Amino acid sequence: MNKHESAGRGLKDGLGLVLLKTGVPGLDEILGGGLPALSFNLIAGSPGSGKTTTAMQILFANASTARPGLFITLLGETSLKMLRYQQQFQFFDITRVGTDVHFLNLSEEALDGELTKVLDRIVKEVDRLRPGIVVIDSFRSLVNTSTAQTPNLELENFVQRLALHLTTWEITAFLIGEYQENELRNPVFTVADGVLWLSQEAHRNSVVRKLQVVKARGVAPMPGLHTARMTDAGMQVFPRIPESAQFDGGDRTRRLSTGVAALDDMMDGGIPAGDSLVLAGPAGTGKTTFALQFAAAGIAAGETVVIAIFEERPDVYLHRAKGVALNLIDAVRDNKLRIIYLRPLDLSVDETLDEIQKAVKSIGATRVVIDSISGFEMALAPGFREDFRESLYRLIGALTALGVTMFSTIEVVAPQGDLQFTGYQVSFLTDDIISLRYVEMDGELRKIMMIVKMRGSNHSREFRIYETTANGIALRQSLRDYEQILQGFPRRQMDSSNS
Amino acid sequence: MTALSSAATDAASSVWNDRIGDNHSAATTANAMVDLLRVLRISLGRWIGVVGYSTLLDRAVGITREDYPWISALFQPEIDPADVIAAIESFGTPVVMAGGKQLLAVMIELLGRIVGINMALHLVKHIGISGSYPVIRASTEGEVDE
Repeated sequence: MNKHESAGRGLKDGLGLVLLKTGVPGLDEILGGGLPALSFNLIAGSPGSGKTTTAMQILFANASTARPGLFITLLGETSLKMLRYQQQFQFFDITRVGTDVHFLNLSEEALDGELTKVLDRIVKEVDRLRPGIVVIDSFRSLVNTSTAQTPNLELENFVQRLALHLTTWEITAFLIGEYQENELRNPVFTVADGVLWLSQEAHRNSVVRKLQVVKARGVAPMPGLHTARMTDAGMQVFPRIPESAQFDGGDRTRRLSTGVAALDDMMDGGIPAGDSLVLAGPAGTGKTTFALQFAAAGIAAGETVVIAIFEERPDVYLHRAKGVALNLIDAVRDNKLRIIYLRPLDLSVDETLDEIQKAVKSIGATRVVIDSISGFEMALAPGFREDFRESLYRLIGALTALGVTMFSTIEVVAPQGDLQFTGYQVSFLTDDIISLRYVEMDGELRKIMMIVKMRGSNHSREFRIYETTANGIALRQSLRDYEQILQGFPRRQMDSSNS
Repeated sequence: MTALSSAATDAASSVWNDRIGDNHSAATTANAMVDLLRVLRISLGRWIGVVGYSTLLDRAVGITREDYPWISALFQPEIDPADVIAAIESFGTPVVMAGGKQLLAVMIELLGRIVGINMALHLVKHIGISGSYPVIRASTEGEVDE
């Protein structure tokens, strides 16, 4: 077993299938560990969805001098163009070409339309090179050039014989083909052990790639559509967070300081460890200052923190921290704080989660700040905004399952008097909610805060006036003797009785 | 004339010297040139397709004939030793050798512009026309001595 292989769990313990690591980040996880060795697979999908790149990546990840990879080009993209573009990916190592990885162009044979001739040549080359992995691109085009009276039947026959040959030669094979979703009944899909379906959809100005494991004999793949992204490194897939990975509870007896001592008192000692807290308020109420103080308190307590921001650049964000007497630059330098700036406007929730998870694991973070959920929504591709609540639910669930305590901010634009505290209807997925508001008092615009909810914990029910000072958030007097606070015009109860 | 990079000309010279060399009789030179073209067609054809190879050769011949007008009649996908000998008799060995070497350099240059010069040089090395790499036996198409 080489370094790329691992014993697979299969569907039943003890099956002992050898699984090949695909070399495509995220794909092994989706496949349930990897691709079964000696499997006969189809990589299908629409043009430009990344089929060739995915196959090439798998080829390079599994090829060795002893068991090389063979990439056969039939029709479609010319070999010259394929070599031109594929070598730009980091996985494409020119020095391995000709030793670990071989390319073979059979376009002439394919253009003749005689599938037997194509098969004979493939068999001959396989016999000569003894590859461990073979990719045939583009397989689908063969049916268009076939001279047979029943090209589909001939193709089916060709596929059967090809699969038999390659399996006998102990080869893991990939056929690449352009198929539409309504062609899933094609016999080729029946013969294949595994089918990876790639697609890309344009939503306004963003393009979203998706990968689905339609079929994978011998393993238990993760169902559903998974977001994929093509970068210089090649294809990367972001496994859709399974709902089973939700909240694991955590040690709720431990309390984490918010960085605002008076607020900690209101929260019966602070935020319960492992909770997800949402701080909701309109623009200018100091949400980011609260978030920064939460992060700084963690760093001061020897914890490590990840902050995901979507609206400001990290340097601006750090500068803003300085404005409230928080110097976080040293913490960034010392790897106690990681600031992730995500704003491509075509993000998926799974990609965002992947970035945050990587950062959390990288520095062992125990606190995560998302500032803000509103900015996060804007950074998503439009197609993902439609199910934002569900996505957010999965994101928070996956992060709190890691044991981190989350502090998220949300900008609300609800009119005064509206009792919808977060505006996003996400209260069901948070443990704790703090609401910030503006009120008019004594002819001034004042800021008040209240703890709306703390799951399973005592907390203060009072409204508190607060200010954002040069040293951060400062809580002032309670509005215990006031009424009509939520309407935005607090009045002393005594005043009310006199009127 | 298309400007040639030193990498392409150096690679062409190296291959030419390895496979053909100097100071041979007209017949030996002709056979060596035929053999080189055959190896190129088989080896590069495996990588980029027979049609891809022919197209590359066509364009290289078209460029090289600006300096060596006789070359378009000589270099076809299939080259005849008798034609090479006739060219040597007409133009002299140094001119035919220079034309052939330039044609090879142009092919490498063109290939490099499409797939990158590093990849082009790598392919040239790996197709077996350099002494330090597996040599393709021209007598048996597709077979490689390893």
